[in-house]
Amino acid sequence: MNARKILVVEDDPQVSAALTTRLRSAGYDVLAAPGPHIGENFARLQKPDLIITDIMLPTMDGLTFVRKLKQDGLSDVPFMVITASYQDGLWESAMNLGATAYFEKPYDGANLLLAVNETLNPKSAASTERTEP
Amino acid sequence: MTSAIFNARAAISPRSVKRPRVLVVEDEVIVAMDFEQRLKRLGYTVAGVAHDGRQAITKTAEGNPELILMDINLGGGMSGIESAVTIRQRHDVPVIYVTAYSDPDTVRRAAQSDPFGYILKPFEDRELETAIQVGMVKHEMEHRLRESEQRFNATLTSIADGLIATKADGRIAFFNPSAEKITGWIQPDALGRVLGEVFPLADDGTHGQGTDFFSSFTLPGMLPGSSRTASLRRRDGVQIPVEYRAAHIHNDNCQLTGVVISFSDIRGRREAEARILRTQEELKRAHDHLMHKHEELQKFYHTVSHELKTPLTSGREFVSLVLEGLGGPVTETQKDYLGIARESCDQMRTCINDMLDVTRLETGKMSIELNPGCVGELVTRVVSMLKPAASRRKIQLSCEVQPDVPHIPMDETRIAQVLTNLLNNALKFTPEGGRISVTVSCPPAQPGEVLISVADTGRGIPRENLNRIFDRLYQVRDADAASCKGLGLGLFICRELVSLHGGAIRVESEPGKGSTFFVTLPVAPRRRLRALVVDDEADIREGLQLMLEAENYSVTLAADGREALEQVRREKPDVVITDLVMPGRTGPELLKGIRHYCGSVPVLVYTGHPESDLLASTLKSPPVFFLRKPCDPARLLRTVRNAIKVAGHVFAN
Repeated sequence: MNARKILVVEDDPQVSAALTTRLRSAGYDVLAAPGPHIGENFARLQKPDLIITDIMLPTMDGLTFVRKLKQDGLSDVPFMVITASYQDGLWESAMNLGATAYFEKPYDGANLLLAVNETLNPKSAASTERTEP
Repeated sequence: MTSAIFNARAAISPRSVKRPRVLVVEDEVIVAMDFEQRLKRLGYTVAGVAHDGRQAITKTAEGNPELILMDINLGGGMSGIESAVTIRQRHDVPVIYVTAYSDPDTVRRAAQSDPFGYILKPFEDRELETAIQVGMVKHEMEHRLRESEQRFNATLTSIADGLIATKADGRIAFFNPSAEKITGWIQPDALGRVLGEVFPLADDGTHGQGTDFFSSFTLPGMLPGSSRTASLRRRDGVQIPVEYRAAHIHNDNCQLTGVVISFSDIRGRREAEARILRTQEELKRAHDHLMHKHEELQKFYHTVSHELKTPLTSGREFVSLVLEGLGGPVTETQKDYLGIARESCDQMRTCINDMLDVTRLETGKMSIELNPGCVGELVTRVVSMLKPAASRRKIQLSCEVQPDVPHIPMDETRIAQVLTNLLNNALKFTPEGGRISVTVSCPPAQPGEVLISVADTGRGIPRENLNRIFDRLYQVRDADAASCKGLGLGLFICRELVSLHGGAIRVESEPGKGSTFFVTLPVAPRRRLRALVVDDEADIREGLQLMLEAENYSVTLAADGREALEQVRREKPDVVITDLVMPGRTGPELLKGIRHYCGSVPVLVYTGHPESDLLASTLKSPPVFFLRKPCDPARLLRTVRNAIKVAGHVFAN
């Protein structure tokens, strides 16, 4: 089976590198975009299985970016949010938009990876529930 | 006037008759002796007899008479009238003329000298008596009037307000020293002049029109006693602000006889007002400036925290990656070192978040979301997260939760933050081998409250610092506080977060033995949740009712769709548990009705006959949950709770 593709939209090169390293070492294919425009191109052309986006991005914020992708017909790609912002309502906005996870920076890499695995392999998580009679 | 007449009558009444000592001035000796005898007969004392005008003056000065009977035609070169005028100038003694002449010229001359009576010779004793008594009363009244006038004058002269009184023609008749000071006019110049000349007022923007004090019966726009302000042009041309009151003077016939104006120079007050206004403006500017700076600072804080967190993220993450061996093999020593580095990153994160929390708390921008939750579970979770840190420091960390603690409305993240903070403090100040115990309970002494306590065996807090430790920026400053670090914001944040929950935090401590922090959180008056059970089988309805009522739900029942819809409308339930196939109305129809009348109330479809087409159509009216009959009570209750929670309908209504 091909490795699952994760699009990382993060303008800080170090954080992007950390994310890439973490995800690649877990066996994922990573597309790292420094901003929404490249991110959008990646999303269209490479059909990622998951998008992880920062919120404060150079030309538009991460949630607007996701909203745009959804309007453009990429609504079924799950997405997660990582942010250094600390604003009221941000978490709610992300959740209402359908985020599968939300991490505040500095995030814990191991937890992030867990959330990625759960998002990309929902069956394994659901199967434990189904064992219950 | 009326009272004066009344007084005069009273004075003449026999009881109050006064017998003055009388000086008789008469140049004819026989007549003088006759006067003397008559007076004595009437009970008067004769103070003396003078035979000419000059003698009369001397004897008045020496004998202190209380009344003088004065002949008009006297020998010796001085008439009685001349003598009387001189006496009246020097002494306050009433003079009654006694004369045989009553020609108009004499009477006129006598009248001019302001006499107190007039007797024509020859006269009877009774006439003499009456003339003397009337003279005495008149004199007394004049005396009183003069005293009153003097008092009045002294008062008006001494008051600080300027006073001007005019006659009916508007000419000034009274002008007190304060009026002189304020207007710059002196009394001799002002008297007799028209009011407007001496007291020219101009509109200062408050009274609208020119001031004509005589223009109407009541002064325009002025209530009695009310004051107005205007601009007064002084004699030297300088305009000054004055406050004035005016009143009309009326005589007994209600005719306007003059105007009285009192006024004061309000330059001092105006200056003070202007100063206050200036100060207020300055304060407002300063306040606006500070608010602006404050907002700038807030933005700056957010930017700084963002800029700090970003490198911290990659720093911490790369340390983690190496620590986890993703960068190649790591020795145990390297693991220890990297572990410390990562902990430092976490401390820095805490600092940044604390700083942000404080700025939000102080600006009232911290919002908490209260949802019913189990404190016991939360505390257990937080304690278990900190167990590793405690065991690393060989501190025994225990947690004891009373089993029947009710759910309370809380923001779990924030209460977890409070607990983490308290536990981190306890860990920081408790030596190796110490103990930290956490309890959750419902103290009987505090009904309606849940109590969380965090007790440590640390070095305690000196008594004098106990009430300061929750202050912002308070830091423990101790010689041996080597482990002390942080911004001094933690407990402040704890207190504020707890108070946002309507709770309180306090501390008890004994230096050398340890400290215990107590957090009390209110158990909000929990509204009983309402459940509507719809089923055509009575056994099932009643079974569900028993089950739900045991869990403190208030339950209403309906046997068919029609009844159900009515109950939904009336009871507005928090959850509906319904069968799918019923007489009256099918499940999907019922659901449509429910959505129409009761919005997004969660509906739990409890059915034994899963008919796929019906089930599919119910899905068009979410939130809908399914449960297959039969089902054990625990699972049913769990599903009901979950349905209410997921639908978020608990705090609605």
